[in-house]
Amino acid sequence: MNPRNYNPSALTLAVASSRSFSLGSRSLIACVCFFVVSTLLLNPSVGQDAAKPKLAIHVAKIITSAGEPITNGTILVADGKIEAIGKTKNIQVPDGYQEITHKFSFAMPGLIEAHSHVGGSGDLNEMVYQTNPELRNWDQIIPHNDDLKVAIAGGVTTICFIPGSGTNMGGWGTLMKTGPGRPEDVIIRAPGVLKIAQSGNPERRDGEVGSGRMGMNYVIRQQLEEGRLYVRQWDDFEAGKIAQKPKVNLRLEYFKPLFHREIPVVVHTQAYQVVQSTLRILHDEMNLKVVIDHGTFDSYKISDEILKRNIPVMAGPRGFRYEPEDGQIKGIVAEYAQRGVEWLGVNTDAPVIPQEELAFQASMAVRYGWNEEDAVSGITIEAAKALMIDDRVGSLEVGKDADILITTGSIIDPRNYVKQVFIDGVSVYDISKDRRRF
Amino acid sequence: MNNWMIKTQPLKLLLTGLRLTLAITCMFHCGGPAAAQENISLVKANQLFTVDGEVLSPGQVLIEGGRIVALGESVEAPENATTIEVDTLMPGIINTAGDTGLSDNGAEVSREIVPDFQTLDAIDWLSRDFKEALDQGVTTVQILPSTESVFAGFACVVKTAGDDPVVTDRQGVLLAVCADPTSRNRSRSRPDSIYVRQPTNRMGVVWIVRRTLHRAQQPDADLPWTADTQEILHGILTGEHSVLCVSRTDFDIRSALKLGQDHGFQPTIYGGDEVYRMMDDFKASGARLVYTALTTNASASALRGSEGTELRWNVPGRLHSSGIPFCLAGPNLLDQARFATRFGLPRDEALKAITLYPAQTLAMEDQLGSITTGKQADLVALTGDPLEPTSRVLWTMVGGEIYGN
Repeated sequence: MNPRNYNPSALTLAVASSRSFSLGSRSLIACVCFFVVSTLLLNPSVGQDAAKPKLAIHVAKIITSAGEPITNGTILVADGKIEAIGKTKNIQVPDGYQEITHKFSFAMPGLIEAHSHVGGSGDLNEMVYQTNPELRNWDQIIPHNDDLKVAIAGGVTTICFIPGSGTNMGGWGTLMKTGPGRPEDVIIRAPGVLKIAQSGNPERRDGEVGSGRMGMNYVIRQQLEEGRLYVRQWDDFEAGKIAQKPKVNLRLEYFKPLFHREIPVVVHTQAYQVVQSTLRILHDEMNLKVVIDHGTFDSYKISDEILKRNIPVMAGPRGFRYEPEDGQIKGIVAEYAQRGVEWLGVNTDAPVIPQEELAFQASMAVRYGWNEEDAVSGITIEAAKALMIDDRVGSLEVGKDADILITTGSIIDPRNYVKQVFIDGVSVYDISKDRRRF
Repeated sequence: MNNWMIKTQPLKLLLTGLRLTLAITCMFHCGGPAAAQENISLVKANQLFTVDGEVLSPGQVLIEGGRIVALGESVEAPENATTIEVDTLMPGIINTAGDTGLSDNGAEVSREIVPDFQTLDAIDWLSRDFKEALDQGVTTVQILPSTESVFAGFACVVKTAGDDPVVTDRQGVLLAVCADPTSRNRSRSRPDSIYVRQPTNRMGVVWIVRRTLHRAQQPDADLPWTADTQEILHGILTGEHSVLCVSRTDFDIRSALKLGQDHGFQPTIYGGDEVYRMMDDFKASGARLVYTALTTNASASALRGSEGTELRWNVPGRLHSSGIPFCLAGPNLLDQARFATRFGLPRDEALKAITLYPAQTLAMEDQLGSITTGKQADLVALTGDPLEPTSRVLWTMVGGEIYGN
């Protein structure tokens, strides 16, 4: 499907069907990932050229995602980073700091979306070939676009912007902030992740190999083997093991950070058998850093194998499942948690679920039995660790990016909302000035 | 103009052999024995917009051998000079993003990498487009290939009239760094269709540019293109061929500039609809802009594309105050200049934006673009100030010959 031929009624149909639980809706839900929301109606982006302000933010409670909450706390921010954090009484505010007081509010880390398609233009799926390690999406990101502005109002400050799942290997995604600035200002890492899709959407129906799971996994394995061999040749050359300098193959270049385990592969994988092959092929055989980025349907039943390998699950956008064995509706995240999986989060697959509703995804998971504190970690530090950017974002700690939400209370309670958002120490949303956007 | 077709053939061979330079251009336009060049004309105007100097009021210009030989408030003319009196005189208008006379839109739909194709091979010299261009005061046009292919081919530059209309057959290679090349391509349709190929979206466009230039940089035995193509691609990398990038959105413009940076060329950006989102960065890039988003003609949508939705009337004024080198291009250039002044572009700049600046874009400002002694006698006579909507074109002079009314 050409993303330019975006059909709004088809999107509505697919989203509506995601509310049903029949197996037949799988393919429809899968289709959703193809659809693309045009984000061309934008306002001029605002640069971040002005010097970053020095801030002292005082709140009733700080949720740090790095240990116990701090009551009556203060965060000092300078140069876009957190300079100090602690009880207000223990922190001396130096001269020249702008004091921002939210006396009855919470501060918490900006939320991190592990699976998003709204970071730029709608060019998500290039599907002529079945595997596309030559493709990257950071040439068409649109910082602070209309979707991201609302996302900020929902507390989302970092997204993993990835190609779609129209092919088995969609290309390389970008880890980026949602705030304003030039592309180079908002990109955290590019290539940020590799996107692989193992079932459903990428099935080939035009006569090529890959009409089913056997074929698709065959194709994925072949492509990864080619990449691994290429990286090994270069590694051997650089280690002095071979004299002949390998030829640069532009198509395989970005496999280097992947096979060096510096960036993860985020995998469109869902249902028990598919996750099983994710673990076996991508983790066991290829030794990659893996993120299970849907993990829905009955995938939670393979939790013991996931646990053995210490692989994160960023579940969603579907949050629940009808279990025929006992006739119950099960919360997918809660089912993982009950089986001991702790490296756990949720995703929206935006625009499948609107980007600003990431916290709602966590709320619904809590409604089905996930622990509330774990849910907060799940959409902050656990997602940051999964995406391998926890050195910069995901928790409020000294030295990390000052991506801070001011909320009226726990973000997991849908009655609460976001009052102000700082990204890299700059206020990018403030309901007292911008009015509420979400 | 029937004889153009015949004249163009040997001309083309010559040009292909010699690799065109401005010097050759000069040869065609100042050395030839055309009848026009024996004429001596004195044009007297109530006001004469030289564009690169003062407005002369009154102003007179003496033309001999297709060139401007004298200029002033009053010029002494030989006895055999024909005297023509008009109200207003300005330099011939130059359109750097035209499709005048171009058959099939200049499209090659079967493949993405055809830099060795040239629009000159598809010009219909009998086309009514040339008359329409003359009617609008256009004397020089750069004819761009369609953006159906990523490496779409060479733009040529032609005069809109005269016996030797071809200025250059290889002005520069057009790269479509935008969504246009994806328009026909499909994945997963009939596998035997020629349209099952990359790019089907922008990720593919960027990849094709990167892959192609990378392979051209490290040529191997089994290059998937001809030696000609390889030579041209190599010429892009060495700076021998200039690069015209059609890019309209903010991110496409950035991609074009970055691809240029990564491969050692400085593109001229054609389109530029969303340049207002990135004025500072664009200026810092040092690139030149051919702004085609300002059009009063809905049929120009092919040039403008479906991208870029915001009002853009004020962009030329902002480009000027930002110090970004730009010109206006596309259809109805007098109207474009008029609207640009209405939304903030100074009047003298608006005239330059359709005459001198496009000449600079083509690196032909020593021959074209202003009423200056020594330059080609490409002039437009009007009934009044060019920027007034009540003024109309009386006639257009190309190389000393008058066309129209």
